[in-house]
Amino acid sequence: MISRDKSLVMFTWFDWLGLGNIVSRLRHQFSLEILPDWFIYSLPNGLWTYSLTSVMILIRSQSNQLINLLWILSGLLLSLLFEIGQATKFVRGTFDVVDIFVIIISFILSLFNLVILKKLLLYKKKI
Amino acid sequence: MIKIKKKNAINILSLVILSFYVILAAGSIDNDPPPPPQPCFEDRIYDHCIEKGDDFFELKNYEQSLSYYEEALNIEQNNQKNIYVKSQIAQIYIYKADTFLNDEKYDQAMLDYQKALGIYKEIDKNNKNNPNFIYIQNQMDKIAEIAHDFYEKGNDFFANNNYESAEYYYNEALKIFQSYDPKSYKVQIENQLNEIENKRKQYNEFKNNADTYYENKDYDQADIFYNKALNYASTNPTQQDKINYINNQIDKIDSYKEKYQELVKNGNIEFLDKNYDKAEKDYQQALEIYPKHLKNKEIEEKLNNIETIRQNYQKLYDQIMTIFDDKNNYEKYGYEKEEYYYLEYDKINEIYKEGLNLYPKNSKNNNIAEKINEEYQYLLEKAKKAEQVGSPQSGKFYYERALKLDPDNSNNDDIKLKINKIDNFIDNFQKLINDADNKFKEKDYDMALEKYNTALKQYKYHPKTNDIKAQISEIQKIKEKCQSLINEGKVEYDKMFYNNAKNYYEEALELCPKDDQNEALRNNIFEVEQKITEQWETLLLQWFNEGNKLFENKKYEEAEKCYNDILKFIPELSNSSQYKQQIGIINQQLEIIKSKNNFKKFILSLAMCVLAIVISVVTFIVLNNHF
Repeated sequence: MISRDKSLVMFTWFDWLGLGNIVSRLRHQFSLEILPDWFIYSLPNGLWTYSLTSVMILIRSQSNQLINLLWILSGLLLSLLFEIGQATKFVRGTFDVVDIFVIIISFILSLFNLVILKKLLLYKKKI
Repeated sequence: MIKIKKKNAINILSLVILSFYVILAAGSIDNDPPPPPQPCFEDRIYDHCIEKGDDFFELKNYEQSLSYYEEALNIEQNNQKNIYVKSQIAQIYIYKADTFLNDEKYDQAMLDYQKALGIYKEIDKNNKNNPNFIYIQNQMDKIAEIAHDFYEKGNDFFANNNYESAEYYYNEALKIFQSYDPKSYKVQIENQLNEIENKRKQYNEFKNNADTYYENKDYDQADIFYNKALNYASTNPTQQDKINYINNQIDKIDSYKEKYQELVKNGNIEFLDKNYDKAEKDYQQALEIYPKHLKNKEIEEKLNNIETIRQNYQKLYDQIMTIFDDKNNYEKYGYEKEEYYYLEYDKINEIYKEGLNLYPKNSKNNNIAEKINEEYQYLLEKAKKAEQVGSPQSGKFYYERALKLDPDNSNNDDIKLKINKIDNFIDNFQKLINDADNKFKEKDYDMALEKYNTALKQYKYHPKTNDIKAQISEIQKIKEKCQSLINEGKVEYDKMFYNNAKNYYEEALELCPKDDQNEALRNNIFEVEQKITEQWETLLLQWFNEGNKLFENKKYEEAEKCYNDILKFIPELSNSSQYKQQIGIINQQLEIIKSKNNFKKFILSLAMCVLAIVISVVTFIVLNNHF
């Protein structure tokens, strides 16, 4: 929000919500020009994937049904589809390999959370 | 059932969350249409770029066209078609420049004309007659002319002190001349811009100095610097605030000056009117408003004068208050009685008048007036009391003090009447005393005593009361002595020492010649005188008889002496018819004694002559016999 280009749709939403001035001030105050490009352009995608996968793991990790696996994979699949869409100009935006790399790392990290969660559940049951 | 419901709920929740995330993801999609084609991908070919460039050129989309042409040039730098591409690019720059020119964006137009000119110079180095070349040159000259107009406008604005407008036009001109300056105006414009900057600096310096002087209330200097700043201020409407600020400051200074003048004028009027409190207040306000005014020394001198006047007034005030307060400490003023201390009050009105003259509008004047009125009433009370106890003189004294203390009091007429009344009383009293004194001198002691006693009754505490009492005492002593002399006379009378008695009576009569008893005393004297006469007659007869006896016994000398004694000691008797015979006899006897004495003298003289002749004859014979 602070460092991305203002042509993004979310800034239109901010304007609709009457938060345009506040966002502009924040962008003006906290202009992070020194940050690397991957931090500004790729990390949000990774965080999105990580967040969605983690939520799904929390909701769907109670049973081992296949459908639950699909739900958990939904974050990864949607992110990858989005990138592929950009590559084929089906979706507005710029395709970048770094985006895909960050998305996959985020997914793996959230799966790692699943392992820890399961261990915690087993430990609770033992108690 | 519950399990199925829970499963559905989880599914719905998952779906909602997923939807939310998708919406969030939509937020990061770009709003704008896809950017112009990114630099041709490796698989795009040179011709395709030119083709696309031509297409966009046809559609008059010169930006797109230019990007394709430039991409094409990047792909292949040595292609023969590049001349065409460059001429197209140059044409695009001309179009752009024309558009900028129409939009009055002269500097951008000039840049694009420059670019176009550069391309034409590159692709057609020797052909200066190229119409495009000539066109561009003409257009650039036209823009240079416009820039020159800007420069002239800038000069006009500069001459009118409108520096912002001048600067705007200079900058506009400079932007153009930066890329094309055939007549070298750039240096002149830069000088002018520097001049504008200097003016601004000068303005800021004067304004800041003026503000500092203003803050320090040195309004004279502030006024000078604000006016200087005004000379350097820009007349541009956008700078009107600055001019307004300076004018406002100058107006404020003028208002301070006016206020100062007004305060000083009022202060002077109050000063002349001797209303020093108000004058001081006005002067102090003037000093506060305008602490660095040139005339402040005069004001400070006047303030010093006011302070001196106030101190002098305070001395007078203290003097009056000390007199009032030292009422019970009268001895230190050399007065034996408190009453006489009030003579000090006679000075108060004079001091009060002096104070009033010195500082007529001092608030302490009311204190003094109140105190004077209080003491005035106090003196009246004292006067009344003095009158009541029978001391009108003392009452008059207090009334007079009251009159002198407050000569303008409305009660003074009544007091003057009272003083007149007292004066009349005192005059009458004095007349009474004078009459008594006269009677005393006339030895009319009874009358004097009566008047003195009357006076004492009328005026118990007169200052001369003791004198009167002394006089009364003296009269009483005289009367006592007189009575004593009469008594002595009576005793002497009884002893038949009539002369002594007479002397006592006469002395008593002389001492109290107007006494009531004097008639009896005179009768006594007459009686004594008769007794004395009787005694003399007896004595005369005795002497006469004794003289006769001596004459008869031929003791003529003793008889003569006796007769002479009678004549000498009782001379009044010699003329008395009663003793004529005796005196005749005495005179006869004395004649006889006298003739007898003359005969004796003759015989004695004759004998002496005979003796002298005898002695002379004897002496002659003796001398004759010897010589």
